[in-house]
Order: sequence, then structure tokens, then C-alpha cells
Amino acid sequence: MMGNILSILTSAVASLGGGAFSGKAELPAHNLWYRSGGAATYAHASDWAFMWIFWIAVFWFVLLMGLMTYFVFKYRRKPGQAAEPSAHHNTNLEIAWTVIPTLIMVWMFIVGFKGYSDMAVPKGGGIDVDLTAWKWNWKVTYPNGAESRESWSPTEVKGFQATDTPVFYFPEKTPVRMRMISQDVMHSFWVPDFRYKVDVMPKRYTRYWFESEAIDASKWKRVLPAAESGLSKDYTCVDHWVFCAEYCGDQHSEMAAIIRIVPQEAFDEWLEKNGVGALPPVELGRLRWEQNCKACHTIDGKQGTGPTWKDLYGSTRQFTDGTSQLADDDYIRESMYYPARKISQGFANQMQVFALPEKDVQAIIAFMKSISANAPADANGAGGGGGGGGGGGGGEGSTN
Amino acid sequence: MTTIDTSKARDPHGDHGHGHHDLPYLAGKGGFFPTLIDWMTTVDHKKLGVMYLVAILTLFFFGGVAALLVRMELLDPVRIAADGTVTGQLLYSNPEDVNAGNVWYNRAFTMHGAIMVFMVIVPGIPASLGNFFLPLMLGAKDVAFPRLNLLSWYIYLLGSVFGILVILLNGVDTGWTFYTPYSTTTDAGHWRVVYMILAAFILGFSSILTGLNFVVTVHKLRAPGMGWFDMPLFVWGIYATAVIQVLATPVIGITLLLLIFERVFRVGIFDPALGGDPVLYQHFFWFYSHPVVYVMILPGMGVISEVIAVHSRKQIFGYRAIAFASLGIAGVAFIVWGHHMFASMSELGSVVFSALTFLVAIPTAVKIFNWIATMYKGSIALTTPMLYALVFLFLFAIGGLTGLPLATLSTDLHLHDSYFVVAHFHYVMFGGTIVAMLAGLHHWWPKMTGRDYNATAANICCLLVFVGFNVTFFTQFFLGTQGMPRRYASYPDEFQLLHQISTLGSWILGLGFMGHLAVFIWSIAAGAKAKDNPWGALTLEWESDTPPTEHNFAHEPVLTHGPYDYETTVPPKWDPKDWPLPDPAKVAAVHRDHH
Repeated sequence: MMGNILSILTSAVASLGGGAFSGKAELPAHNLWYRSGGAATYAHASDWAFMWIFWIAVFWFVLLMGLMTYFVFKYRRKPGQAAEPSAHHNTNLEIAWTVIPTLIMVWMFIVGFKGYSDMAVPKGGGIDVDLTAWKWNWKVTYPNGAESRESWSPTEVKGFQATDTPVFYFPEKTPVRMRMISQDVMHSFWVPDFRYKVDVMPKRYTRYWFESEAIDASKWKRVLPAAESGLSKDYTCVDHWVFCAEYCGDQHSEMAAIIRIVPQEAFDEWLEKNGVGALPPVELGRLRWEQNCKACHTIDGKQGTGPTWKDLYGSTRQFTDGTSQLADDDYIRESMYYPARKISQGFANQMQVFALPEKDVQAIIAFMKSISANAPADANGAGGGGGGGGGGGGGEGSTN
Repeated sequence: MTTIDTSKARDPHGDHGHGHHDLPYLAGKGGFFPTLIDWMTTVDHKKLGVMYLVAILTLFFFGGVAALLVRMELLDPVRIAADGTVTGQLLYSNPEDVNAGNVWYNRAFTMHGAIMVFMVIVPGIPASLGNFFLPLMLGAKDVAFPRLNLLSWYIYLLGSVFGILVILLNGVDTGWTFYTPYSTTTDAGHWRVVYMILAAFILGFSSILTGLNFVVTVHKLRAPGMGWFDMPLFVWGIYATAVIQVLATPVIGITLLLLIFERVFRVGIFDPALGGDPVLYQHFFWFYSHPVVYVMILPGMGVISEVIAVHSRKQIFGYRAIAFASLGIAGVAFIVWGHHMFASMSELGSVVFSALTFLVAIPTAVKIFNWIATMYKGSIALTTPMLYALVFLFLFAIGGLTGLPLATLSTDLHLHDSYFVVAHFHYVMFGGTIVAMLAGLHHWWPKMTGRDYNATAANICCLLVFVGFNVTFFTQFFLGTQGMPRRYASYPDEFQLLHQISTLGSWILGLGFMGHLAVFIWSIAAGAKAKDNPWGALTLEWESDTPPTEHNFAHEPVLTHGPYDYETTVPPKWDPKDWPLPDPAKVAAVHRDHH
């Protein structure tokens, strides 16, 4: 461990000397306070207010510390010489140094209030989306059912690499309103480049909105290759970090996401490509599995963090408390909404809540049936989309 | 400040008829065990003050080690290379499990916060220096309820034992704020979270009892002739603190108890899954925990008022303004809790609390102006306590001024829960409270122990603490504005350089504290005998023996001058260190002739 620390310090000293920064990128010459200009409409007012408060603070600090240093020097103790008598209070002076800061702070309050109004009151037009947070990830659901996906390939954000991070596509210069909810504990949705955060709570909606600046105005704009986005051609884009700013446990510091601002044309293409309106239930279920379940549940028979889905539907599950149950529709749904109630033998209680919309639950059930040899033939495949209850009844009948 | 009752002899040591059997409070009782039992059952406020000091400094050490561990982890971000090797897990290295490092980091910062807040900074100055010097400064024999004082020390001990038990059980990861529903659901199979909450709950009672004791002491036990505005400003600071302790601490007691009910019995109060409301918890929690910020800082401000006046040999500027500012801060403290919740409360609530929050800044600013004005035309000696008072002004000014963008709504919504907040409250809590405590310790150390310390060595340590602190925490302002969130075990590479500088600073800071410890140990072991009044101060505690006798004064002291009446009490060309002072009536005559 000591060797590790030494090598880190060596690299720190090297980078202070103007060399490579962590071996990855040059340390850009930037304003120490803000790496980038604010990237949302209301962010500029926030930065403006901050810099004004900063310079006012510098003024007062220099004044006070200057006086202090001057007094310490000028009135340093000399042997045999007592302090000179002077007034013990001065009403005019004391009123002045009470009223002047008060007036400055009234101004700060007004500036802060106006800036906050722009953050709190969303603009009309644009798009409305849903944002779901859980330990430890984010997901955006678009009006047409499209959902954000994790980026499996390395992504550059402001010159730094990010992987395994969900990417939210949004069009430039368009108001975006988010309705946010958490599935477990408190989280907080913070986009540092937008200078705004709002807490995300369980069982209660909170709201966030922004309107991004034009892509061309950002010094962080870059080419978005078609290979990375899966779109028909290359576009330009700007990526912004999203961080969770309310402590939420083990992987709090990995709860990041990327907001990717793209031209309207690129966004429209992405939205249509990822929309789910025309998908048959089994295909929608496969998509939802890729988006939500793939990390823990395989479909090829290999056991992962959770049981494989291959041949799971319609089989009899053995639980850690000794009980058992047929894996029917209700069981699948219960496992998504209350994952801790029944733990399959050989697995730990690690699954978080996936309170997906009913349509998605049904689609996932349809998908699970399509990959299970235990599912009754008459309820296989597309039939599952019609209604979970009917399919479940069939399953029970065939096995018991 | 009027001179009161000059009819009696003003030198308390002149009367040897009563005082000869009164031994220094540190005198042993003949053998180790009798002395130990004497200390464990003492109701002497001075011994209790020393016992608190030892306990608090011990816990400060644990909290400091946790802080160094936090900085250690942040030296390097946790990364998984393409071949699966994990780098950057400094706190707890487990190549198999990336999560393990995070878990240990979360426990380290929780233990740092919980220990430092509940066991060090809140009791810090009032329980140690306050217990020791409040009765002495008032000219009293003891606090109003000496046995209650002993009880509150044992309650403090019990609470701390729970805290240490949690450390031995590997710590908890709730954060010191215990935000729900995380705190009521995390680590569900274990009792240690409950122990930690219990520790804070029990410590609250110690705080309430100490506060109650001090309020009554100040009201009832002032020396004859001492009016409210003849009290030293340290007493005003402690008094304002005690009022908040008595009024606010029961709220956290109730809140923590509800938390335990919810966690253990699954009663739905804060957890929405049980029908509760997590924002309600935040309101309850901050209704106590914001006022308690002033429990932490007001005694420190009192210390600074003493130190600046004494070491500048100057009447404090605007005595009443400082005294009323203390009470003003104590009052406003109760109506600003919502500024901790700008990101989670209603828009209207945010606006109202933003406006109220600015109110706190005004009395705080007034105090800083008064302190600096006190130095004007003073006779300033750069002793260790005075150096720490200057460090306080420097750091606390930064802490106060960086509070402005946090009170301003539009900028707070960016900075909230970022490293900017971390830096801000360390400038206030550490740069304020801990630095003030160090100033007070060096100011009163000769009186408490009867020994001098090596001033040069102490000054070097002061410089190390000053430099180390600024290197550690000033960098964090930039981390915050650039987008680094709090309580992150890892971070994007762009933040690494600033984190490395900050960690380097934490080592300098740790070195400074180790140095201070060595200076104090050396002083006790081999320090020269201290004078009764080494700084030439005019407050009553310096009129006692060094160290003070068990009953503080040979007979009840009578106030003959105000706490800072250097100009009327001390004759020109005369050093107040040459104790005792000449007759005030003659001094007044000399002053008249002089002008």
C-alpha cells in the first residue's frame, strides 16, 4: 500500500510540474471555480451571482485581514508601553457596519430568488420525461416508451472516460421537464454543468427541468460517431455528468449518468429507433430485459447474480426459507415489486425493486415464457401480452 | 464598566487565616487508588473540566484518524482496468470486491462525522473549558449543581462508550445525519446502527444537563458586584450556548427515539414504505442540528473575545454589541434550519428560509468587526493563544463569507451537498470551534495545570495547523464548484489533482496536532511553574492560585473592575503581569495626572 501511495504522489508532483495529468489527458488551463460555462439557460445567472458574491467576499476579506495585519504590526507590544486609550464603541461606526452588510445581503437574496425562480418554474413546450432512481442507477423513460440505456462502450465526458453509465439523449435548446421518483431511498439529481439539483424521493414526485444551450456554444462539443450512438450518421454532441448528490450507500459514488445533448434531428432519430410502440410483447420484454435485468439474469442457462431465466417460467422454485412455489405470472410480478419476499435457494437477497409499468411487466412475462421449456404451449409467446392473469392460470393448471 | 465596592481588600490571597488548608485541586490523595476514586467521584467543576478535556481529546484523536482514512481513500479514484485489476482502494483493498472499499469509506466518514459532531465539537469548549472557567470567571466556588455536573460527565462517558462500541463493531454507514429511509433500512441484520443512534441520544442528555447547570450558575452565582454586563464575554458565549442546549436538544432526543422505533419496531414515521415521510425527518433533524451549529461556535466566539482583549491589553470594542450578538445568533438559530433542505423542500419554504438565513450573517459579521476594532491602538503580543485568535479570524472570515453563496438560493442549488459545503463547514467548525478551543487551551493551560509550555514549539505547531488546514480545505471549494459531490468514495479523474493536494494537507494538519500533543505532554512532565497571571488579564479566574485550590478562592472575590478595564485599572508604564494590581483609586488618580 505504501508503494501505491508513493507512486500516486510522484504522479501528482509530476502533474503539478505541468506534465501529463493521470496519464490520460492534459490538465486544461481553466478557471479554477468552473471548468465549463453553465450549460443550461438558468446556469448563467447562477454563475454570475456566484462570481459577484465571490468578489464581494474577496473585498471584505482583504479589508478585514488587511486591517488585522496592519494593527498587529502597528500596535505590537513594546516594553513599558501600555495600549493607547481609544473609544470603546462608536455608534455611527457600528450602525454603518451593520447596515451596509445588511443591504448587500438583501441584494444577494433578491438575486438568488430571481435565479431560483428560473430554476423552479419550468418553461412550456419541449418534452416531458420520467426519471427513476434506485440504488444505484438512473433511468429516463420517454413519452413513446423509449428508455435510456447504459453505455457499454467507453464514453468521453469533458475529456474523461466513463463506462457502464446510462446515457440520456436530449435535444439542444429545448425545454425538458422531468418527473422524478425513487424506488428506495433518497437520491439527488445533480447536473453540475446546469448548476441545479433536486432531491429524488421515494413515493413522491419531484420535478427538474432544464433547457440546454446550443451545442455550438460549448467548448466541450465533440463528434458523436454513428458507431457509438447507433444512429444513421455522425452528429455533434455535448455530454454532461449527472451525479447523485444525496448519500445513498455502497455505490453512491458510482451513481452517475450522462446527459447527451444532440441536435433535434439526431434526437428524433434516436427516439424513434428506441421507441417501443410497435414492438410485439416478447420483443418488448427482451428489450426491457436488456435494459433492466441483463446484468444479473442470463437467458442461456448460466447462473449469474440471480437465477437464469432459461426454463424458469413454469418451474417450481425452492426458497431459502424452505418453502416452494410455481413460477407463474404472479410470482414474476411479485419478484419485481417485492424482491426480498422470496429468495431462491443458492442466491442472496440482492435484487432491488423494479416497479415497471404494467405493460412492461406483462411483456417481460411474455419474454420469459418464450424462453422456457416449462411454459405451457398454449400460453407461449404472443399470447402473454393479452393479459397476465390468463397466462398464469394456464401455468398453474399444467404443473400441479 | 463601573468599579464596584472598593471598600474591601481586593487581594484574595491577603487573608491567610482561612486559606492555608486549601490545597491545589490537582493534589493527590495519597496513593493511586484513593486519587483515582477521588477523581471518579469528584464534584469539583475543575476536575470535571479536566476529565471532559481528556475524554474529548481522546475522541478527537479517533475522529481525526477516521478523517485521515477518508482523505487516504480519496488520494486515488477506484478504477477497474480492462484486465480486471482494481486500483485506488487504499482504505480497504480487496481485488475481488470493488464494493468493499466503498463500504469501508462510508463507515470512515460516518464515524468521523458522528464522533466529531456529537462527542467533540458540541461538548468541546463548554464541557471542558466552560466547566473549568465559568465558575472561576464568575468568582464562584463551583457550578450551581455540582452533582448534576458529575452525572452529566458519566452520561457523556456512557454515550461515548456506545460510540466506541460501534467502532469496535466495524462502524456504521448511515452518515452522521442518519437520513431516512436509508438509516432505517441499511445494515438491517445488525444492531450497530441502533447503538450509534443511542450514543447520540444519550450524549444529548449530557448536553442538556450541562446547559441547565450553566444557565442557573450564570443567573445565581455571579460574584457580589458583578452585573450582567460585568461578565466576561466568554461567560456570555457559554450562556447563550446553554440556552440553545436546553431548548433544542430535546428535539433531537425525540427524533432519534422515533428513528429507533421505526428501525426496531417498524413503526412508520419517516420511511414511506411504512407510510412515513422522509422529509419530516429532515425537518426534525435540522430543527436541532442547525441551532447546534451555534452551540458549537458561540463558546468559541467567547474564547476569542477573551483572548483578543487580554493579549491586546485593550477594552473590548462594543462589549454590549458582542453580548447581544450572541443572544441574537442564539435566537435566529432556531428559524433557519430549512437552509439544509433547499433541494428537498417546497419552493416557498426555500425562499423564506433563504431570507432568514441571511439574518444570521449580520450578528456574526458584527462580531468580527468588533474583534478587529478591539486590536486598534492595543498592545498586541503574538503569544500562542493570540496567534490562534488571528488564525480564527482568518479562517472564520472565510467560513462566514463562503456561507453567502450557500444562503443565496440560485447558487446553493448548485453547491448544496458538494465539496463546497464540506469546505465551508470545516472552515466554520474547525477553523472556528477547534481553532478557538486551541486558542483557549493555550490561553488557560498555565492556570489549569500550573505549568508553562514551550511557546516556540507551540507556535510552530500553530503554523503547521494553519497551513495544513488551508491546504486541506481550500482546495475543496474548487472541487465543489467544479462538481464534486460529497461522500463519494471515488470520482472522475478530473478531480484527482485537487484531491491529492487536499490529502497532502491533511497529513500536515495531523503532524501539527501530534506536535501540540507533544508540547502539552512535555509541559506537564517538565514545564516550568506558571505564574498566577502570565498574560496580565483582568478577569477573575486569574486571581485564583495556580493551579487553583479546591475552593477556587480563599474567600469570596469582590469585583472591583470590569473584565477588560485596562485603561482605568492598569497605570501607564506598568505591566499587568506584575500581579497584583495597585489600588484602583490610585490608578485613577495617576490616569488623571497623566492626561
